[in-house]
Amino acid sequence: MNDNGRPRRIDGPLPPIVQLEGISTGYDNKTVFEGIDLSIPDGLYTGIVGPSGSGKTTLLKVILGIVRIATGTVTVAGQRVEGQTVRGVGYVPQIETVNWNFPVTVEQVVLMGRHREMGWLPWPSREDRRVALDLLDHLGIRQYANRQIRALSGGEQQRVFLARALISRPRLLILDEPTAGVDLKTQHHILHLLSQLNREGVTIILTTHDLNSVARHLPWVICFNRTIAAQGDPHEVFTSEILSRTYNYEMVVVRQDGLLLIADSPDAGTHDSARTTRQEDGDRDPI
Amino acid sequence: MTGAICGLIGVYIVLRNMSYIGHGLSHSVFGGAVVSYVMNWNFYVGAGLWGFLSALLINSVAKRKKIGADAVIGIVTTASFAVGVVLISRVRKFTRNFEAALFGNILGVTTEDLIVIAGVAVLSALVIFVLYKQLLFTTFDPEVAKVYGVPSEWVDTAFALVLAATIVVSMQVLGVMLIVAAIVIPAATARLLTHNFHRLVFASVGIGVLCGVGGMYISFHTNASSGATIVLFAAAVFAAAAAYDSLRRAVVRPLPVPVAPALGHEHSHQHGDILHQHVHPSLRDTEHSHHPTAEPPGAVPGAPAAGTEGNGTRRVRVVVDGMTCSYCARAVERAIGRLEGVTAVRVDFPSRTADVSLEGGAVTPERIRQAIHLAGFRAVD
Repeated sequence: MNDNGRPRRIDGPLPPIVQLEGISTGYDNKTVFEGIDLSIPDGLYTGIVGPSGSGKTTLLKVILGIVRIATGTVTVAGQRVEGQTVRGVGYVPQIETVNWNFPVTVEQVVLMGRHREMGWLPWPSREDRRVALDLLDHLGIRQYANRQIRALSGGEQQRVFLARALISRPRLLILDEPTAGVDLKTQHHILHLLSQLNREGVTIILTTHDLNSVARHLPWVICFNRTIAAQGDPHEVFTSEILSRTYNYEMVVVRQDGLLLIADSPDAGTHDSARTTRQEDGDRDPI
Repeated sequence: MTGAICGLIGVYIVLRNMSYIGHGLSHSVFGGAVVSYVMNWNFYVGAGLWGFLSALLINSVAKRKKIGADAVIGIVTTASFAVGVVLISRVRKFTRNFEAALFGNILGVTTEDLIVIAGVAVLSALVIFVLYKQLLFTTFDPEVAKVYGVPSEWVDTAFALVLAATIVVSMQVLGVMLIVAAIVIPAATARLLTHNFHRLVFASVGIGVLCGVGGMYISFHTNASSGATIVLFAAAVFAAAAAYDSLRRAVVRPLPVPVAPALGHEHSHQHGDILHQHVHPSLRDTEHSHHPTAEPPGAVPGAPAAGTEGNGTRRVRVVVDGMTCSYCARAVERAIGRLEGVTAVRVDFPSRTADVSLEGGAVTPERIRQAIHLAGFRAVD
């Protein structure tokens, strides 16, 4: 984020904002991944794709510093991450992890993201509220400020948590499946919103299952399945070969008019091929 | 007073799904009370310390996740309670004190007790006042709270301390068996009445006081056990609130139709910077069209009404960079179409070109380029 609010130009190589070196981590003696090296340049808008259980969320949590790592070092914005998130990082968790019955209003949730700037009084100042309401206004959900968080649609709920992350003006924004559970139009809307933020200088890392949206909206993609299978421009990286390898499942990529369309193999759903795929899976070691 | 602190603490207990911990802890504290009696320690110091340590023990064992928190509470607190029972059976010196500890006895409360209760109430209120935002955040979303720099462990410990202190001082009035009701009921009742966290805290404290005073009043007149009467009174209040809540739901209330939630895709191309909202005041007037107009793409939204008809029409082709889908093309179309003097515009996504028809001299290529830039894209020469 630079001072005049103009989009940052990408001229030549920028220093990495996220640097992972030799990261291994796991839960309860079960390794999730080992020896990951990853460098994400400042100003990038990147998506991490991969099958369920491939460790995408864990990778994000490593960057955030809320998962214990067995080996390796994590550096974010020039600071070593050791059990504590570097300031200037915004995080939007998976929407399913939110406790929707919790009695808080939209505005109260958004102000949580600002608690460090708010002084020690329990209630927000007029200035705090103004900042929160302005932000909600820009995200088009100001009219819901006093609603309980459950009383909103999926896309609106997503924007509430985006607002909580944005209110502290992060340089790096990390989103876990921001396009899950919303319709196509809302998905586009969210990805465009993020792309606009990116032009304003915020580095964005998100995970998603929606390969077609990634191909359309994101300039950079990381294919991840316990290891980095490939990374680069989706137009180069999204090939049948790489995706089938990442997902351990047959995928077809159609190219037309400069657009990519990703689908599973035409006969992947039939009984026979499903069975053979499973047998192959059994023989093969997980990637 | 006891009602007030219990109401305050109860909010967090209920929202953290920790009701059982309150119940368990009161049993655990009983063990501590007996030990401190036998050892001739001060009741508050002994029982308080014991309760605090139990709370910490539960917290740390429960964090390992392998055993559920409820199982850990069951083990720690009943063991602690059992210590108390064993000691009593060995020493065989039942005094009024223990009966009070089990069932509560408001008449046995001394001035010294009152001072301690007041002290704990002030301390608890102070801790919650200072840690209010952090407590709310960790209670709502512990993991994300950590990301935003809330020292969760520290906050949890402070909360455990406050909880233990509350239980110890409430024990004299309410007794081990009934304390959990005084903690849980006001908060649960308030939860039925509001969705707003701030209001919830106030309502819960208020209901706690109401139940304390109301229950005491009834118990005084009926000569029934104070603790039990307070709890029964609180339960009645809860039942009334629940009845009110279901009545409110039953009345068919058409939800107010929300104002069009500005979900139109065009809005992703709002021109103001999101993070730098006040940097470009000049941008704000381009934002006025908050409601997508009904014009078809390629129409002439911003054309001057009094157009000079005739041969002044020019055509310009601009290559637009940065479009990622056909929605982007529409956004560019709209941005250019708003310029005065543009009679027609068509943006083609695959070829990344914008064909603009101009009239008069008002629109320069520079202004088109600017409009494209403000929409978040780049014009290429």
